[in-house]
Amino acid sequence: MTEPRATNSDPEAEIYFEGLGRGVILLQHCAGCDRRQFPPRVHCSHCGGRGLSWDEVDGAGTVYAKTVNRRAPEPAFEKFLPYAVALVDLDAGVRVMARADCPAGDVATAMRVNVHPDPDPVVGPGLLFAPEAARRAGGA
Amino acid sequence: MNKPVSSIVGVAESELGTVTGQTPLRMMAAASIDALTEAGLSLADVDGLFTAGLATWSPVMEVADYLGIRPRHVNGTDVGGSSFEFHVAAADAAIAAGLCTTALITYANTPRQDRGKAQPARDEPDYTIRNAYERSAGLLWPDIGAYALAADRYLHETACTAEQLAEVAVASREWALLNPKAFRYGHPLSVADVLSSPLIADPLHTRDCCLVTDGGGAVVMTSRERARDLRQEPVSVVGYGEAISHGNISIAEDLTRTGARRSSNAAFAMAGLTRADIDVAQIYDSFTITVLLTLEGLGFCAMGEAGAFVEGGRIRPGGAFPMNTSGGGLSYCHPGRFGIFLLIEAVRQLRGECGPRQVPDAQVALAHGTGGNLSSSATVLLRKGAA
Repeated sequence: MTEPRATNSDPEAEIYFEGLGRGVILLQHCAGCDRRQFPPRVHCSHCGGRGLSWDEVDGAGTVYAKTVNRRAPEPAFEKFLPYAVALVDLDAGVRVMARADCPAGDVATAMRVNVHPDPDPVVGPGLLFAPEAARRAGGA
Repeated sequence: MNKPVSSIVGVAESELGTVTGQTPLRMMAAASIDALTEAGLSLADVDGLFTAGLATWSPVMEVADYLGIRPRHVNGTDVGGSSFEFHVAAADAAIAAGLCTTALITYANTPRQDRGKAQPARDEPDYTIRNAYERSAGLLWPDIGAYALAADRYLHETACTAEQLAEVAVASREWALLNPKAFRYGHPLSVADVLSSPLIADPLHTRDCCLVTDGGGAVVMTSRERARDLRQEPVSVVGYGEAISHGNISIAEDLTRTGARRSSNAAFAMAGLTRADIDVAQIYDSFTITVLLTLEGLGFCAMGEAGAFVEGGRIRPGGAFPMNTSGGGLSYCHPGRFGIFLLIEAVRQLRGECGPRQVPDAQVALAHGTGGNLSSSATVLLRKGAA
């Protein structure tokens, strides 16, 4: 895949990515319907409201679905092969996509995990996850 | 909801398989002329043009220029592989509204020929949800990573086995062995072959994935009234329905429940038909998992039961549920967007033209397209004759 074209960013995206740069996950919360959303938007995708504020949430969640990539979508990921990618349902109420920073075989569907900002992103800011127990054992 | 007004009066493929030395434009024109000719029509009759997927900023205008036509109605809806089922719905509505009288739906692409060649940069901005919020996870792209996630969730939620997923590929191959145009014609496949093929994105193996071939096709539609005077026995469009459940896979609410439920309910209601009326089905098979999820969404079996449904030869030649009789995207051809071939095969089955793979006395056919990352669903119901 070729490098995406550099373009404008939205203020809401900037807040989210600035948070990742500081090692925290920031999510929008809607005052109108009391729900969180991801990705960030100018409006609430649940109710259409514009009364959005930001919360810092922890990355506790559950693996909704996972796969193990045996090929990389672009060269930057080849060094990780094979690696697991998952959709994780955060306890905070949103679903995110993240790459495992543990051996692919350690990841199971429905397992408890912690999601955290990638401290060393290879193609742009994003999220990693690891099994809850492993993170605890590692002192994270 | 209004009843459909149109019929399909011509269908054709271009050259298929490994097609060297031809562009998608030439292949679309060849298929279009063949489809029009079998209807007794010509390019001069085409006043509605429907196409998607050519790698240019305006496929409808580029294709119109190459064909040398000046349509008064166009539709370039592109929702991935199911685009052409969406086009049937749009063409029927356009014919009903008087926007056009002869609609040409066409598509071709050469992903096999193009492998390894430098491609023009995909001008996709970095603010798309995929680039901004998914790309950093490194999910295998295009599409297979998303379908692998769905397969993983499906295997987690249900009693379905990898063998049952593999059966979808094996049944398609059995049909392909009856279709000389199929890419895998003459090459049998077993469940063990599928399971021993390399994993690409667990739980999907190489043989759970569609082909990458070159090819194209065309479908010609006109009013039922006009269809009576044309060369082919018409195939009537009797129902259709469309649904978008999400675009990007991380936005999908439920990976195991596709838009096929909504699109098929709309189509069957429009047609006044039930699932039991379907004699032959063409169901988009980008991956084996796509078929199982779609069978449930279409209502041919209960949620979680598609794995058992496809066992015992039910979807193989001679089985009780003849499906993907061309060999499908898994074994016949798959030039990027397969949906137009679902329509072509459905029409040929209803006309009784399919030789060794003909389903006896097929009167009603279902063609269901799934595009993107399980994102877009469209169901088309067709009936033999002037309805």
